Amino acid sequence: MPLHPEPGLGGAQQHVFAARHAVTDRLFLRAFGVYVVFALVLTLVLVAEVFMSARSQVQQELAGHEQVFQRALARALWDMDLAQLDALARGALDVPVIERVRIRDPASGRIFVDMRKPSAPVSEVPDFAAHRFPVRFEHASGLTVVGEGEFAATAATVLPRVQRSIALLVALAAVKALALWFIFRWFARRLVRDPLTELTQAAVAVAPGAEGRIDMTPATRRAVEGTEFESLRDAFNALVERIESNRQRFAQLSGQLEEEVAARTRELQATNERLGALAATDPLTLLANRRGFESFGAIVLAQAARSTDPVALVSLDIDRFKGVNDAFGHEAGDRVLLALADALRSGSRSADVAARLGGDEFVLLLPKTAAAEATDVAERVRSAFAARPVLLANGREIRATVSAGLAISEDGMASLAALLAQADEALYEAKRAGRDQVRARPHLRVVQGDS
Amino acid sequence: MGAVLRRALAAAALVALALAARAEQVVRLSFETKANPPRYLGEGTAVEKDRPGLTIEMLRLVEPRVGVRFELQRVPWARSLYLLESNQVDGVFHMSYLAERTRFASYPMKGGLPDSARSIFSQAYYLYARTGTRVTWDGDRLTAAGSIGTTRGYSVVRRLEALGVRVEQENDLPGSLRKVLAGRLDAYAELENMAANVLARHPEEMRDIVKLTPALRSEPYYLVLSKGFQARDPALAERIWDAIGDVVRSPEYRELERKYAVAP
Repeated sequence: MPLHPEPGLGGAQQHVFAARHAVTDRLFLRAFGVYVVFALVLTLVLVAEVFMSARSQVQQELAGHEQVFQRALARALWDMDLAQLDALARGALDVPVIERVRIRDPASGRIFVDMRKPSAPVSEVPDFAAHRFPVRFEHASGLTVVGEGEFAATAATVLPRVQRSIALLVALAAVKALALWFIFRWFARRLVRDPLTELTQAAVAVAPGAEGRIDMTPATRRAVEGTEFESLRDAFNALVERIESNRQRFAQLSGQLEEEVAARTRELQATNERLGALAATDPLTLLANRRGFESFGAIVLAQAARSTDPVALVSLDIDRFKGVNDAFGHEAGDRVLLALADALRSGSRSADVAARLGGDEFVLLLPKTAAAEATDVAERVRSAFAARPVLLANGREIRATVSAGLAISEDGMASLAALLAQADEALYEAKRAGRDQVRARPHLRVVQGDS
Repeated sequence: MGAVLRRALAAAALVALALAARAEQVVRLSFETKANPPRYLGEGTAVEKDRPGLTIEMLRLVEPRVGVRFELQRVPWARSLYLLESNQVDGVFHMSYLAERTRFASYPMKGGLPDSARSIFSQAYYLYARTGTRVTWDGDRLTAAGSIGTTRGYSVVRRLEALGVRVEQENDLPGSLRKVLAGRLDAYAELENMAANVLARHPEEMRDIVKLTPALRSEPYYLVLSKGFQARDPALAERIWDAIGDVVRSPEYRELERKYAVAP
């Protein structure tokens, strides 16, 4: 039976090919995720840079103020004029950027001044930007370091300066990310998702057996020109072609296969018949065995019953066959059996059925044969067998005889079993009468049933 | 004989030098940047080479007796007190006795009192006012004085406060005397020697400055040592003070007094 591919995949099956997630979305989500992390880090670095530069600027300003206060601080420390030192520190705190002033002597660890702008919250880290400097008093003999000054600014000073820059940086990063989102999404859909969807739909729509070609809409074709999608489409088409040619080849092959199977089947039937014949044949004499006899006998009797022709059955048994076997061996017995088979074959007619039912028990079924003719045939067989000596393997010749009983159904209506039973009775009579002779039973007219 | 003896002498000298060098301990001393003739001369941080002053030369006589070397630096008085207090110098001169100063300064003591026998010298504070001033001082009471100036950290500050006047602590003596001339200070309390030095240098400008008698206060002045120094080597402190007492009474010191033309 030729195999036919499934008919075109219908709408109900198409959803199987619909992707649950667009590859572009997944690709983009991952790429975008990485980008966001990257951008976040970069933005943080930039923010830190802005912060640091603002801080160094503040530090420079603080350093600039050192120049203003250096001499006065040195003088006050030299004189240990703490009131003056205090006044100078207060003056320094009036400078907007200076939020804390500390004057100490590193040599002794003593802190002369540690003042904070009243507005500066104490909790803030004061050292966000600090400028520390040695206070040097210059005199005739040189320079003497008389203390260490420190001007510091808190984060509160720097924050307002960098707020704007940081806000701009963050906003720019956000805008960049957003723009990237839309641009990438649009191109990803145009260049990847749409061609893939179209290719999938086209592949689904290809009806097997038909001259299917996968293609894309002109717009998509332009979008993916020269890309992997074209290769994919061509590969698809090559695949479809290959599938179609394979399908045809397969159909052809399956036709051949069927013929082959039919031929083999026929062969098998003939073999079966031969085997059947073998089963119905006696392997030694090549006459029909009991089974063959019953089959042929049934046919002959059925024909006889239809035509009401007479039918005769001769039952034969080799006289003292056991004695032959005992005296000369089974091989000699087989030769005797073969000799009887030859006598049956030569004495019978073509329509007659000769069979060996088992041991030295033979029958001869004679269709359309009346009593006189049947007796002739039986007599012919008996005399022919008795007249011909059997040559043994050792060169000796022995003689054997056969007894025969004859039963006849004149109207052909008797059963095989009944015929066989009467023939056997006649056979016993022949044995009792001294063997090597033919005896007949009275003619059977109607035999009721098989018993 | 000559060669052997010379060699032996040279070796002995070397040993002596080495011993001296080992024994020689540096003691850091500070004194004022103002001139205080004849105790120390010259203004500012420099120490004069040829005529540094009577006290400086006296200390040079003390050095070999004790086996120390004094390292001198000049800073303003208040700074001297600070350096002493924070042990950044080992000693300061000249300092009069104030009980509150014993917190950070060690004086030569005897029987629980400062030992004036081991002081360097005595000097007096006087009040300097403008000619025709209303301020009067009779040795007990100070009248008609609003604000009196003096050098920052001087012991006389306490004395003036006890007299019930407002004290302005200043750093610049000529400038302060100019404030007196200008009427911004009613008077200025200063060590006699120091004031005399400035008045002598500016005779024209300071013509109208008068010294009020009697002396506001006259006291012995000491070389004081830092608490840290005394704690580290109390015996050395005593030796230094003993040597000062000895030198001041020695013939060499008489010579020096003559050199600086101080009346005996």
